[in-house]
Amino acid sequence: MEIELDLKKLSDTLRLPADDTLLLPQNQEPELTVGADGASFPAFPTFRNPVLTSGLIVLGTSSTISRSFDPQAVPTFHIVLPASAEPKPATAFEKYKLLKKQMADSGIPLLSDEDLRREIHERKGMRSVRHD
Amino acid sequence: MSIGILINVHDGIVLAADSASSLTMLQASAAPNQLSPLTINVYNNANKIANLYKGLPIGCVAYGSGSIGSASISTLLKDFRQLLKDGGKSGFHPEDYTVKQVAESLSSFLMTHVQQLPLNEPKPSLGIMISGYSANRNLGEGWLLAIENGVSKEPQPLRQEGDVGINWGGAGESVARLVHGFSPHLRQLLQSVIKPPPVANDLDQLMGMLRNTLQAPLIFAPMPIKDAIDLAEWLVHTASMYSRFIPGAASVGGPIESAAITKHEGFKWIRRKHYYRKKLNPEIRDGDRTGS
Repeated sequence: MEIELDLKKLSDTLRLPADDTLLLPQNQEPELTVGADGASFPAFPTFRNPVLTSGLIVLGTSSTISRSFDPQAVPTFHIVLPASAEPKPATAFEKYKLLKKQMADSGIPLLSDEDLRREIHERKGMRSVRHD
Repeated sequence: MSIGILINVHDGIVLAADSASSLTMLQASAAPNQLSPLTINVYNNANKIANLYKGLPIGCVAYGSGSIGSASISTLLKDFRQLLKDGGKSGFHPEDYTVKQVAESLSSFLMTHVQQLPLNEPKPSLGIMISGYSANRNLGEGWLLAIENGVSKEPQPLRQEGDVGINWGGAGESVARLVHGFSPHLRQLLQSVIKPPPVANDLDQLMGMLRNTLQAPLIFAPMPIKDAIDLAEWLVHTASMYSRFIPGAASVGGPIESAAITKHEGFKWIRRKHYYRKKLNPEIRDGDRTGS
């Protein structure tokens, strides 16, 4: 299954199916690293919405809190999820759709509309015989 | 594993750490010619924070390997403190020093001990965040000293002068999720699912965008030092609890220690443990034998 990730819509909630392999113990703790991770903030923070001031803390400006990014500058990524991540069909209609897709993907030649009409016409009026 | 936290606000710097020390041995793993560590025991009384010069606003917090050879990191830091005190040998002058110089001196000092290790002994990997106020400066600064498999890297500044922020080292998965909004594994996961594999620059751009969008604004420059202390201790506690409940040995835990470094008050312990009773040992003051 291939999904095109549209970064312009990242403000919407993006849910990806959970991958249970991440719960395995060997994937819980990263390898020991001596580097230090962190987050830095400028001396004068900016906010999207005005905030209350009180007492000691007086903030300098008010605008968006995070550095705005240009979605046009970020390329579009294609994400390919593993097969186990495909959602299983829930309703009968979805099961039918999946079965139809599997039949089409199987490579077995299927009847065209004309062939199908001829087949029906030939069988019309005839009692179907079960072949075991 | 450990957790070391450094918070830098305009009011000062806070250092916090847990007290866990894991005893591990290397054992053969499923991968050929590779050894994986096996935790044999976890002790909860290690000392990871140190005041690098009594009376001066310089301190550090260590994580990673707990010893170099037969000497614990705690002992080595105190040895270094003694060396700084003897300015003649170390070239350190209390009236005119920079935190960067202290970081570089500490790196050289520790590497001297690393180089004395026997060839067949595993080489240590540790990180030390050194912080404080350089002489006659108004704002604190932080530097990272990293020794990886016995090879040291040049001390790096943790942030630009004037900026504030938070840094963590060691078992920082939980802190990273809290602050950044995602696991450190995310980059690796995206690298594997994006087809074709993205170039490093594109992935860096995406990770930077995620970080900017999801980062929790926990630190502000005018934050009072007491609030920074509470934040640092809370993060250490969170890392401890995370380690307790996640599968594997609880390699982060034990008493939380914290210290604050401010321009006028200098290095001050906030939470600290002693293995001895002060009342029974009156000759010891501030961790040192008086008169020394």
